[in-house]
Amino acid sequence: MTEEVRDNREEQAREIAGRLLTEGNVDGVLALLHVMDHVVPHLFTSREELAHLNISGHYPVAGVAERLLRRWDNNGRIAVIARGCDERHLIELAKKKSVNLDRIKIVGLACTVDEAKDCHCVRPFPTEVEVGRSVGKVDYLDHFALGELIRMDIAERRKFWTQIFDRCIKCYGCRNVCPLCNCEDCRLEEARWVRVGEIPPEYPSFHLIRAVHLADKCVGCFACERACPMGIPLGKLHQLIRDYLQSVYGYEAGRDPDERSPIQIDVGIGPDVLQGLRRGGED
Amino acid sequence: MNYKTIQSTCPYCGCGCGVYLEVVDEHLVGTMPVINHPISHGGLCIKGWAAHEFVESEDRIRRPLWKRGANLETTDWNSALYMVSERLQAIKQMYGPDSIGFLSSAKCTNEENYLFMKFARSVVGTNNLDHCARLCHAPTVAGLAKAFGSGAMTNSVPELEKASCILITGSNTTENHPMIASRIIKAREKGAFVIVIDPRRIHIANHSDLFIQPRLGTDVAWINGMMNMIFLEGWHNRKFIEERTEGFEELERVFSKYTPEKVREITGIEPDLLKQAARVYAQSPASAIVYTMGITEHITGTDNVMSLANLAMLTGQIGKRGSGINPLRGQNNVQGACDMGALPDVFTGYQKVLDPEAHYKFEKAWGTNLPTEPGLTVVEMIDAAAAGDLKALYVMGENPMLSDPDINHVREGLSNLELLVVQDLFINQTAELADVVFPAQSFAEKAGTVTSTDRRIQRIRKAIDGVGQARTDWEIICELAGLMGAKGFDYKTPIEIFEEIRSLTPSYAGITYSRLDSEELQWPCPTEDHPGTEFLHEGKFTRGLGSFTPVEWRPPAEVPDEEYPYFLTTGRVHFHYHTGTMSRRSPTLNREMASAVADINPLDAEDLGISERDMVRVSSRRGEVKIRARLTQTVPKGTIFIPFNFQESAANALTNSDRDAISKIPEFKVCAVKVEKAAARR
Amino acid sequence: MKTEDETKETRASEIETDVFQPRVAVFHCRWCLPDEENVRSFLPAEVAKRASFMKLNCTGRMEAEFAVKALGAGYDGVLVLGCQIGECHYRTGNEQAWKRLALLSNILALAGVYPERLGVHWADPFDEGTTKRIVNSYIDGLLAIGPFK
Ligand code: SF4
Ligand code: SF4
Ligand code: SF4
Repeated sequence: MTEEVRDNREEQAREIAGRLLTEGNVDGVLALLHVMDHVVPHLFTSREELAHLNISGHYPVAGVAERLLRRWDNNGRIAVIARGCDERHLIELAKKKSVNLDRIKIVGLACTVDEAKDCHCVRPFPTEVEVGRSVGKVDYLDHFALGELIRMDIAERRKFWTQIFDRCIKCYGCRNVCPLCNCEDCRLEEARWVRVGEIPPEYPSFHLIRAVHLADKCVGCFACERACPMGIPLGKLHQLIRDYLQSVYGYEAGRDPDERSPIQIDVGIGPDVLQGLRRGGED
Repeated sequence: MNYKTIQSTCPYCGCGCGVYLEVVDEHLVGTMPVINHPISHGGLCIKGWAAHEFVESEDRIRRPLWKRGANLETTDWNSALYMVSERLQAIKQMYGPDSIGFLSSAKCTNEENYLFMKFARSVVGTNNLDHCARLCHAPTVAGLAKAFGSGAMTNSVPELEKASCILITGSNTTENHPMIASRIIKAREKGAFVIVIDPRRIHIANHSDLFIQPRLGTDVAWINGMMNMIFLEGWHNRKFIEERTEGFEELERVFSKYTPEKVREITGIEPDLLKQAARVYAQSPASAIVYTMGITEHITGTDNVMSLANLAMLTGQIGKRGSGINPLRGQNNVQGACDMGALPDVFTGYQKVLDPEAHYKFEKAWGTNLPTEPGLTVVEMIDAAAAGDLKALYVMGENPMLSDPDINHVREGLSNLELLVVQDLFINQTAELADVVFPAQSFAEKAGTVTSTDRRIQRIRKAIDGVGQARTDWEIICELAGLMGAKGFDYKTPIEIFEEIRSLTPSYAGITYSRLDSEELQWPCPTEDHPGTEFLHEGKFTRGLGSFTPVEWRPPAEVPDEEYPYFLTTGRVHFHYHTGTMSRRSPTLNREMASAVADINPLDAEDLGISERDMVRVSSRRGEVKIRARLTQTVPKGTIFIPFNFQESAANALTNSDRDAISKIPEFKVCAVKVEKAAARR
Repeated sequence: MKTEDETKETRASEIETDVFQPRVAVFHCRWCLPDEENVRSFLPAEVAKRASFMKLNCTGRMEAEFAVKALGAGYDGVLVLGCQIGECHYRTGNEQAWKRLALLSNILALAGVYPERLGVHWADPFDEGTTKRIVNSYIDGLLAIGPFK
């Protein structure tokens, strides 16, 4: 049954992509391509290639879209076949001014129940579904594991996280794979924040600086956790932080490009503060 | 506007992780992990993530170079090839084929190693052919071949998750084989008991159940001691010994001398700890041993390896899923370079040069006469060059000036040559001395196969066109062979070369490019319907019965004395790779670590008046280096650690080139040094 | 080689430092608390000796990284002192900081770091008694949870 839905989605996606390519209002369609026994992100630019368009697989394509558009400066407009999380990534990237949503046509792809379960997803659909059928709001979070983390007292958590962070090999995979970890100058790379050339990386800076930076941006895609070779449950840590912002401010990242993060620095203040600093502390 | 992703295999270590190379408008812009890859399943280490960075580096050699006066100047391909072919022929004529040597490369593809081997043997007519495996796992090949009949890793990487006990010794796994460490961590999560026995408190020791810190160079002693305990407690596998091995009586005579007290005296290990390790290792349902250069790079390298083999056979911990002996190979294709016969004494698939049948088979296939005697190893070639017996050396993708022991001696040897040809991506310390330098292509510019540490054959694929005028190594060899009048070098694609390889190599016979597109294949794979071999020696060893070789402990060739009171041990660091020609051109990796540091125990530092980041001078009987100090408990008191990845503080200016008698590996892991604080530098 | 006397001396000082005295990194606003000596006086003498003081142009400038890095660098606690809410020279710098520090303390707690290590007080420059009392109870909290590393 699931198979049936899947096949159907692929055809739908191909059809939409084909239409977009011929109608000529995009330069390419970013989606997944089936080659041999693998599925890889690919920019489809001709109808002929579409026979191999695939929709399975979990590559966070928003990051690719952002990098491509940046490389091509102000030219170009692409379509992205985007799952719910991909769309939320794009929305957060737009808030960061990293992408201009006018240059992206989002083709919403709904995930199947199995896919949603795989990702521990709560919102396996984009705002507008064009491919597949939304399975609605679900809750496949790993509540058992999350509960364990919550139940522990501070000392137990300390033991748990220091042990587990100590495994880290500083591959930067969690950062590289996350579309929202796209700062030009990453503090995790700067020696004054995290000592360089050491594994495990400096505790707690490496992991907590990233946690703080992503706190109000993370859309809960779990890509970081999947990319971590050392089995560090980063996605779960982020989920707990997301829960905090949800419960205190009712805020959820990735919902709406016009919604502001509750903990964002007020831009009205920023320049003043900075000016003060530049004047070297004089009035 | 063009964006595509090409699947390939990481060019750094021997784990063999899957990477997607991201190509935008014909430039390499990124690397991504392959999600369902059998080794790396969606992860990579920092080197893998940065795999694309060195490819289009400014420093790539873009045109052929030759020496004019003291300098290397650019030239064109025809002139360079012509000159090399003429000179090689002249030298061969004048001094005979054995005056020429060849260093092949664990970074090149199987196809290229095969062709280089074919070129050396059939066109030039010499067996003077080796590569840097000599400097890492030659003892493995020698020791395991003697014990089991095959020198490769017995299990596969994914299988480690099925082991119930993993004994790691002489392997800084997290730093040097990160994706294998990832498996070990996962195995431990699933309940495996992890034992680390290493002179340094390495990272994975923090994630083990038992950590034992023996003195440097005492491996044979603790292994014998462990066997003695196992035997006395009756934990050995009597049935396995009877049915599958030979030579046990002599073994027992030797290990029984290694009483707990004697072992403690030599190694410093508390008997209780060793006993715990012995018990878990022997009694666990599936125990695996994982080791690397900490075992092999000693004058007793082959002894160490044979001792581990003895231990595995004594307990029957081999030939089962998740259980066996696993030497982790260092470079992405060092296993393949060995498999392809880039060694002085074997053809492909370890078919011996001395075996008349193999000899005949290759003569017939190649239609030439082949030399009959095994040739020189890399260290011997350097000696021969220094002595004036070797006149020409052709180096493909290696950097002996940094990787070999006692580099002052290497320089002397190389400078003495009449012809030094280097084929590489970058001007490294060896290329600086070359008469001709051919620009070669990197893994991202060409197609072929590589064999990772667990005998896994994987493809690399062309992602972008060659940088500058660089050509693939196999094309260069073919052209040169053609110029020298050789037949049988007119391949059009790597597939044609691979087809020839598999027709001559039983263990590769069943592997084809098209199978590799959709299947995971590990050799031996004798026929096209054979699924490949996950683990070796099930039911029967390659050589029939497993052979016990009793070994006595011998101290290292050089131990600290009054003048040179500290042990020096060398190794690699996580953020760089081998001699650094690739990794140090990667901004990501260089940012993490731009220069070498020497690890010193805080207690020693206090004695010497050294504080963190001070410059120190470390000297041995052979040379000295200046290097920054890092105070760390990783090294025990009395021991200094220096990575060999950095040319400006080359650890191998210090190391001893005394060698293991059997495998000829130099003793990189132990020598004696003195340490002084260098003049303050700001 | 140490002489016996020296050894005794080191022992003595070791015993002295055996009693845990927290190292605190203090970040204070230059508008309400411009004088470092004054800020120092809020801390118990033993703690003040080992504390570090960083003057910020506004607590709005206080980044979570400062606190995280301080913990990594061997401090046991991070104390932020700024103007009272509504009194910020830049209008709402302290409020913004507050939200971020609240988030940080939540993240710290999730990662197993006692949120009590992070102290925040919006000080009234004319009521040093209260500031001192609050700072001292913050220090008591640190004493109770012990060293970070
Ligand atoms: S779950 Fe991880 S990868 Fe996904 S958005 Fe959050 S931080 Fe980034
Ligand atoms: S992916 Fe895992 S191992 Fe890699 S840097 Fe992130 S936490 Fe560390
Ligand atoms: S572990 Fe080895 S093969 Fe895997 S990404 Fe790192 S360097 Fe490459």
